[in-house]
Amino acid sequence: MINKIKYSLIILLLAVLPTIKGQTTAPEASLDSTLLLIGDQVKLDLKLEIGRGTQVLFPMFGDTLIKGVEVLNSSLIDTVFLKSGRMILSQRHVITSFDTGMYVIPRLPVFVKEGSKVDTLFSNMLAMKVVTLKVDTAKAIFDIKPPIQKPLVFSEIAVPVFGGLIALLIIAIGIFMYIRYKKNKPIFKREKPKEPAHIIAYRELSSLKQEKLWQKGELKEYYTRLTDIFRIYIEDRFNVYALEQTSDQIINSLVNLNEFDKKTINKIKDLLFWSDLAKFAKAIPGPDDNIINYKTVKEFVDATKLIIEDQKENKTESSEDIIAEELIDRKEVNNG
Amino acid sequence: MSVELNIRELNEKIQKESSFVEMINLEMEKVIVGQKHLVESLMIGLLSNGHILLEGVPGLAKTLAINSLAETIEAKFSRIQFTPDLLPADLVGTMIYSLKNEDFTVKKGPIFSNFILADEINRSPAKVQSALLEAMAERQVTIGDTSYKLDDPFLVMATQNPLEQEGTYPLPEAQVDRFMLKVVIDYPKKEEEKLIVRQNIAKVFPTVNKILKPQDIISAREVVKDVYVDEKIERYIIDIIFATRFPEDYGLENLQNMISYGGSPRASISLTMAAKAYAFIKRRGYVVPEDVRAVCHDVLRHRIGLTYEAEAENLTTEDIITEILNKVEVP
Repeated sequence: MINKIKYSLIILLLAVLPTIKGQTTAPEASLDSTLLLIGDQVKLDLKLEIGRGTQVLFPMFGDTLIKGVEVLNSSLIDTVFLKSGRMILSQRHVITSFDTGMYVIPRLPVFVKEGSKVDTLFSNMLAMKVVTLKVDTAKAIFDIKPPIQKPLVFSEIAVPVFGGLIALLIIAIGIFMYIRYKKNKPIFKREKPKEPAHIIAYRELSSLKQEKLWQKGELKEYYTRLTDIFRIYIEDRFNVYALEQTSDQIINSLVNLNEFDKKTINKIKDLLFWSDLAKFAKAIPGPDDNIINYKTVKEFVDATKLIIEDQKENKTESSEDIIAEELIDRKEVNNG
Repeated sequence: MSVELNIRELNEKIQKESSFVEMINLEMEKVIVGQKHLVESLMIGLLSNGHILLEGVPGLAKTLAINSLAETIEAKFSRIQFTPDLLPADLVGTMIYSLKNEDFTVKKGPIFSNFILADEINRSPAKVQSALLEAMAERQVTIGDTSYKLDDPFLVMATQNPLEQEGTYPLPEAQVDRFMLKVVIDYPKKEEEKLIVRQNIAKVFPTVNKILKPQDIISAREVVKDVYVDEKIERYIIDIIFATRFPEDYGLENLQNMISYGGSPRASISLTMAAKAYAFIKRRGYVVPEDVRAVCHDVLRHRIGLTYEAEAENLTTEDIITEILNKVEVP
């Protein structure tokens, strides 16, 4: 009889064994520290080992775990597959407390559904102690420290600063456009074109003539000004760096341009020769030479000036006018 | 047209006095093919009482040029080969004890000549170089207790070989500054070289005629001193020298870190003197900017110090001078 009972028990055990193997164990709760300073944070881990096909519902907390213990954040549920075909589910909660004392974290419920069977499993209980700072009463009492001032970083001020600047710019443009509109002026100004070389040369020649330098005996100044007008003109007109060149170099530069006949080059040679004599050798060229040299510059400008079509109508002083003026000058010199 | 009297007179005087320049040039051309710049520089040095530092590879007729010049003006010529074992006494002379007279007698050295060719001056140590450079500046030497005046005209042409620098004693900047001109000579052109070969393989090598006396050079120097330099030219010279010292003031900011030191006041004096001599050679009684530019490289190339940056960028004093001349406004 006893043997019969033994065999029956062995057969029953073999029959229920697969069921035992597939069963879910109780969840395990743990803290990474059971003693914490007030305001410090600890990690609460909840782990559960289950078989495949088992559905689990972990407990969900608001911002409070129990009275006096706050939940700061909760991680997603992590799954680790085991070789045995089972798996471990785990979730981490970061908790803190701002009240001193002993706290007991109750057993946490986990709902498990295996097939059609729903079960509630509870974790182990936990305890933690929250302590405060030790106050040394022998020492003086200090005031509460103010909040730490951190230096401003660019990213903190970039948006308001740039936003403000852009807003100011838009306002300024708006005001500018409004004023231009009110004054009936074009909104965008055209850049003033550089004065043509011949206009500058004519103006300077005219001014030189009016000053009557050679008539006053200031020949050195007269020839300095005359050659400067000539050199500035050829620098602007032909891009020859005449101001930094000697007379010989200027002649060579003009010859290399291949734009002038021999007669013109000879006239310029004469001009520069007399200028050098007057400037560097105290020479006193006669009135005829002074007029001829002036004329050489004027005629050179006349012959080489660049005229843009729309400027043609605003006719400048022509060579004929100048020759007439020079004849008057010569007359005055002869008379006086 | 009329020209102020004194300049006109001076021009006429110079036309007359400088006629020998053409004659010397013709004589020199008989023996020296090409190297016109060298001959011209020798004339400038001679007329402005300056000395010349010559740089060029061997065999470019340096000795022949100065020897021929000495011959044309009936002057004494000495060639001193500078070696590491040369002593100052070998140069200036020494006191020798005469057993017969039982007294010290003076044995004058080769420096007592009108024209000295100091060949490869950088091969001798500093004390020999100093002895020569002192004689160049003072125009007298002291042997024992007595000072002896050197002959007039006295022109030193010192050469430096740019190829071999090992075992040499480079001249310090302060001593290089005492040379009025530093002339760099290069190889002759193909046609010139052909003529040189023909001339040297001919049976008779041409010789120069004596056309002047040393006294003529001394009087010509006085005329050179009279060559008129206008205030505008003076300002141009000063601008060039100042541009070597403060290039940034002349729009040459790129040269600011390239120049360690610029031209000294001696450079301004030498540039003016050389320009005057050049005007005289060109038979003019006044200096024009062309004269200044013509001598500017020779006067300034040894008076500008380069920085490491300049050397790293392969910039030479020639480049710096050219850049300055292209930037400083001509009057």
